Amino acid sequence: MMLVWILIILMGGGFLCWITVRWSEQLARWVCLACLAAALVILLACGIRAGPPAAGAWMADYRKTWIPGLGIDFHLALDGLSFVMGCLALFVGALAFVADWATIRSRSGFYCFNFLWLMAGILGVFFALDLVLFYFFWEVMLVPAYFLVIGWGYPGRREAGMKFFLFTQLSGLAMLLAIWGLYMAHGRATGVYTFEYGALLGTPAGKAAGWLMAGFLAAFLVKLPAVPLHSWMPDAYVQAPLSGTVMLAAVMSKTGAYGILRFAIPLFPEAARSFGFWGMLLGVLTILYGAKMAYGQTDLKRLIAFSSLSHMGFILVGAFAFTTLAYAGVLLEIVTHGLGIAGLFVVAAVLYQRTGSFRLDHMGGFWRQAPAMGGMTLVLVMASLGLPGLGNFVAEFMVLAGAWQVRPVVCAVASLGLIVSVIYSLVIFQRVFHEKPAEVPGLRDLSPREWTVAGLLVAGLLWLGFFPGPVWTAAGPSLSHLLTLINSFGP
Amino acid sequence: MITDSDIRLLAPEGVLAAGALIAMLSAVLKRTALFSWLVTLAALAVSLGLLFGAGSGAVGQMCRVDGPAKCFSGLLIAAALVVALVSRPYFRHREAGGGEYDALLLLATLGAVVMTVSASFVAFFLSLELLTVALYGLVATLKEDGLAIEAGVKYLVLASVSSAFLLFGVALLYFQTGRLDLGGIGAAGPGNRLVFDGGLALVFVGIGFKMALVPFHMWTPDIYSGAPAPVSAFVATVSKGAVFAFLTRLFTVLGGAHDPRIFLIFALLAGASMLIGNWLALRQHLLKRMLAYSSIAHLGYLLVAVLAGGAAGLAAGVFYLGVYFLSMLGAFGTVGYLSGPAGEPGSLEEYRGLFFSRPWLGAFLAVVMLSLAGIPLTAGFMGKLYIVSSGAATGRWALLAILIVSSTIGLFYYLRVVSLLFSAPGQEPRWERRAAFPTGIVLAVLFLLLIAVGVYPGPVMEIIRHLAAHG
Repeated sequence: MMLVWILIILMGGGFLCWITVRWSEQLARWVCLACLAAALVILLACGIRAGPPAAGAWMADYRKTWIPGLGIDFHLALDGLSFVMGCLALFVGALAFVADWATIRSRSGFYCFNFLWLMAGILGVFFALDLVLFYFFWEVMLVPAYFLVIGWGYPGRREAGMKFFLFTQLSGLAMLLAIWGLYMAHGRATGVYTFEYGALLGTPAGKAAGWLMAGFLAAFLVKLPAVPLHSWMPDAYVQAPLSGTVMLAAVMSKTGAYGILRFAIPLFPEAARSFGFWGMLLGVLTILYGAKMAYGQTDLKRLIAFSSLSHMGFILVGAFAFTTLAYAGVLLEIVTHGLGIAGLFVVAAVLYQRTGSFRLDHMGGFWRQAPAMGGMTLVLVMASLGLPGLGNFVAEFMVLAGAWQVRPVVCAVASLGLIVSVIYSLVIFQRVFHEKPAEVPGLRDLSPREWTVAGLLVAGLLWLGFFPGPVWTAAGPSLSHLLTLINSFGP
Repeated sequence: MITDSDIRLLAPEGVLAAGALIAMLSAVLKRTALFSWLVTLAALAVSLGLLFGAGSGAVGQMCRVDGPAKCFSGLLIAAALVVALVSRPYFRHREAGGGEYDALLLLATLGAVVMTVSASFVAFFLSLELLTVALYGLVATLKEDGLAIEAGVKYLVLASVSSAFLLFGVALLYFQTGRLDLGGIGAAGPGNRLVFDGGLALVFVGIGFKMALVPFHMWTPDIYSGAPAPVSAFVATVSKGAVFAFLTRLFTVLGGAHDPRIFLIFALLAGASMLIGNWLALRQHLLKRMLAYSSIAHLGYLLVAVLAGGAAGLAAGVFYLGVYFLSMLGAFGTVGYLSGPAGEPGSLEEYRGLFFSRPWLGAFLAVVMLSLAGIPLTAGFMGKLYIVSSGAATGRWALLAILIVSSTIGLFYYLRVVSLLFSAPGQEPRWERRAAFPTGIVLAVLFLLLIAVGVYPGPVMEIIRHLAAHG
């Protein structure tokens, strides 16, 4: 029931913001922030009350019949994996909201509404255990995200929003067909027609399994995104407002990763195993292509967008390696990428606010005027290039080590991405904070609000760099459980 | 010989006919628009009530009142009721919409309802002509409007041609089988394949024209944009829905799901309607023309449910038809609500920023568009879900794939409307500012239904299943 309350608070809060904005825009914002905080507190309380999770057990479970004729239930549940994902989404989302506190000036009520509904959709995706309900939330997060992009984005927002929507919708519908195919296959085999995740695990789909998995993967690889389904990504990330970008890049992309780990692979273990090499290859391509494109950009936000793409490749490589080490790495990569990329986009937005542009050649030598900003950026850039002591290093090292156990060659090629990532990450720092000083009179350093947001993200990265254990303690059992399921099928 | 049970079975139709007579007489005797309007509403409401009281059974060889027919009739009468409700406020600025409009509306509804129960080509043709002839008048109701007259004449010419096709097809079928009732034709079987198939093909041309399936769709955009908004709504919902109801019956009787040739014909019609309807809608700049092409595509989706066949396919079809009615009535209702003495807001640009000047109306139109596009939390999503479910159950994967591709194309133009609604307002719009009773209330009810059915469709589906099975 706690999970339902989280969704009710977020969705109801959306309407409340819309109403309260009549009296004061500030009030609506505070309501929105309070809802996010309340949801985070409830989620944490859920996790703490349930204690350290056991493998294959649910920390919270809520189930009600929804559409009886088709065997669709309203089934939400929480395990370690969804707990970590939910906490990340709410934490980063709240910070993104605070970071954009003063820049969103128009139609605040509707903005808060969309933000909260987007968050509700994302959490619903993490909680849903009925496949139709999962698809339902998958689509629910799409519409508010689209509105965030077209309502408050930069000048090219319309085309970017449209592209984003079409890519996601088409791939989502492919997933819907695959869900239905799985439902029919399960019904024919067992006589029980249900969309329940637990029941569908281990459905013998026969030859169709490959096609069905392709339907699921289409949706998840678009959301992640992975090469070659990424072409909506640079435009959407660049044209969205800061909070929208952070939600897209740091949080929504993780729904794709979560979908692969929770649904695409465990539902079709055999097909996934035979697709393993190609999955890792797509991951490597994504790493290298993203890194190469990032290096070539002159637009700061675009550069960060491609660097995000590159890091998502590690998730794909790890997910299709099927080893415990790689899965631990994937989990950490999900969390650290969420924190790190959010931080970089916050810096980019702050710079845009000060200089009126994302162009790197309009920046330079800002270190003297804005040392705090420089310091924060330095840590974030170091995290992005994988410096030991920061979360990304642990994550990417574990992914590569786990992949090495299975396919050393793939792993070796993937590690080339680390070299390029050093170059493009340093380019950010060098072009913005060193070199010939650009003429920006009165460049302000970070305001206390911006400082807090960036500081919290940096603190999170440092914490994960030195003590990655707690995240694995929370989500490890669930992931190991999924891994046993997968590895029980063939070598 | 007419028996008591026949009268009871056809009571809903009788009430509609009586209402039409009263409205017509009142238009002759004393021209008070209010009276005939109230008569129309009362006739529709009573007819809707009687529908669920009457049992089911056959009325001679002509008509057959059964579960599916009742589902369809209920939807059609309810849609006609909505159209009647929004008509009066719409016509208050114009020299039209008196008793003759109400009488024609009731006659057209009568034709549509009889069509759902007709079990013979005689009843079908009579009801079709009743519907069509009444529509000529309805489309050209605004006698000062050149476009409306043009639309009316165009409809007259094209519909007559399609009726001729249909009649010749029926004649061929009669020639081959010696029967006019559907059961008899189905039982007699093809015999001479050439004559029988030729007859069927001609009948399908007539039906395809009425439902505006590609390639018989050319008339739709002109009629939709020329006719007054409530009449467009009527054409989009009641007229198409009635023919769809007859088609499902014909399809079942002929065993179309098992006859590969009939199946192929309808699969091609469905695929072409989905793809081409959505494709042509992309380039439209007038809302009503866009909706016309969108409705072509939606009839294609509906055909997928028919092709899936069986009880699940029928229930999915009825459900989707209801959802489609809600959305289309909402869209045309909004157009009507915004029209004033200056006419209707036609081009999409005129809806720019509607959300900020009229938040509720803007939100409503956005929900209607999202429902047409099939996005969750709206009824349209659940409709698509049921269609996909019925199609998947019988393995119609190719059709479902087309449905998915074409609805993604469709998203493009629905989203364009939504993004316009949420854009910063441009120049001062010429919308009607005064709220019109009872259109506002009707739209509010449609709004609630779109969301409620989208969130919790179970009970509605149960009702449909129950009605379809037990009548």
